[in-house]
Order: sequence, then structure tokens, then C-alpha cells
Amino acid sequence: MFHKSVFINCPFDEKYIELLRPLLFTVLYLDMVPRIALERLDAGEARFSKIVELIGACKYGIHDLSRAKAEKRDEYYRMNMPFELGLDIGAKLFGQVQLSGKITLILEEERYRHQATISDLSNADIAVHGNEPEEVVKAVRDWLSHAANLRADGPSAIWGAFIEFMAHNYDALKQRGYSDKDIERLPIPELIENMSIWTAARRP
Amino acid sequence: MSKSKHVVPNSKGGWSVRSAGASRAARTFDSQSEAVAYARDAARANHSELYIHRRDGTISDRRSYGRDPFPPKG
Repeated sequence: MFHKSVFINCPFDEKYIELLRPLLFTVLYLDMVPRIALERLDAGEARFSKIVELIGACKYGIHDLSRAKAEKRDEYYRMNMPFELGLDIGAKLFGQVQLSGKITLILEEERYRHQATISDLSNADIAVHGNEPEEVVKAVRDWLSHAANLRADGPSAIWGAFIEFMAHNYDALKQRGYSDKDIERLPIPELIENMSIWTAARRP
Repeated sequence: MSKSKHVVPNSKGGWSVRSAGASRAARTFDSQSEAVAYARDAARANHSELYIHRRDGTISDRRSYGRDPFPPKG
């Protein structure tokens, strides 16, 4: 499972869900396993322990630093994403033998922006999504296809499949009595399960 | 679902019409209304569903021209 698992380090806010949905879908479409702190809704579980467990269980790591920057005066810098990126790289450098094969992608909103804050990462794989959901699909697909040596479908085909999944999921949830608001706020574990079932059913 | 039509905004500022199962957009338009009109005619011809998506893929409107449990809007 280690060789198929992708640790996803990203913000967990209402706005980011627009990018998180296509990110999760692309990983599942490529028959890989997304691992994210929100995959279990257990309030009693220590977040740090969960993050460390996920990092140790995943060969691949996707770290979105696009929301790390403070947007307003006196707003604090969001340190969780850079911190977890550091943990992931540390696991590769100092962890058990298996972890030395870890591969990392950094997502950013704008090209070169990370160099202003984490210039040590100049040799890392970095992709830019410009806050566009379709660009997230392309960035993740292109990187994972190469890193995991997959013969992946093209970005446009995966984006089209995501659009179809969203329609299918909408209909299925409506039939079960969900409102439009309920569907938009579908808990991440349910979203991942629905995406897993849909993508698995269409895999040759 | 197999012939459903999907109207989706694209990253270049236009609107794409996709058919279910297609690997790329069938047509692109400058405005949403043009894209919806094209997709609506195609959905009617196929007796299928039309979905209008937001930029993030979520559904802003759904219309049925087929024989499914959802009645058409309007």
C-alpha cells in the first residue's frame, strides 16, 4: 500500500474544497490512494500523531503551499502546510530505508512564489495551479503519471471524468434527500468513498 | 447518464460543452447562454440530461430531457 499512497497536505477551509475535490479525484482516478488528515472524523485522535502516521505510510506527498501566505494585515502566517512539508522531507532523509524513496510535489498559486519563503526547495518538483480546479487536475496528473510511472489518461479526459462524477454524485445524493447545501458540505470521508466507488466501477 | 451534456466554464474565460464519456470538450463558446443553448438542443435530441457546472465542477442547474425520475425545471 505504501507505493500507492499519496499524502495530501493542504488547507482545510471552505474555500479550498474547490481545489481539494479535483485533487482527490485525480489521485483516485489514477488508481492511487489519497491519505489526508480529514479521512477519519475522530475528534479524539491527536492531529500530530495522525499526520506522522500518514507521512510514514505514503510514498508520495502533495503539499499545497498556496494558502500559506497571510492575506490581510495582522493575519498570522499559516504554518501547518510548510511544517508538514518539512516533516515529509525529514522522513525521506532520516527515516527508515523505505522512506528514502518518498517523492514530493509542491503546489503553489503563482510560479516562483515559494522562493520568497522557502528558497531551500529550489530543486523540488513544483507546479502552479493559479487557484483553477482544472489546473489542479493537470498538475497532479502530470506529476503523478511521471513519478509513479503510470500511463495516465490526459488531463482533459480526467477533468471530464471529474465533471461526470460531480453530476452523478449530485443525482445520487439528491435521491437520498440531500439539499444542495448538504452536497456542497459533504464530509471528506464520504466524498472519498463516493469517488472511489465511481472511479473503480469505470476502470478497465 | 451515458449521453448527458455538461456545460462547464473553462480557464480561458469561455464555456465548454462536454458529452459524458468524451475525452475533450465538444464545443466552446464565449458566453454561458450560447453554451447552454447548444447543450440543451443536444440533450433534447438525445433525451438526456443537461448539467450546468460552476468553475469547481459543482452543479448550479440540472435539467432533464429524458425519462429519469427528475422532472425538467421551468
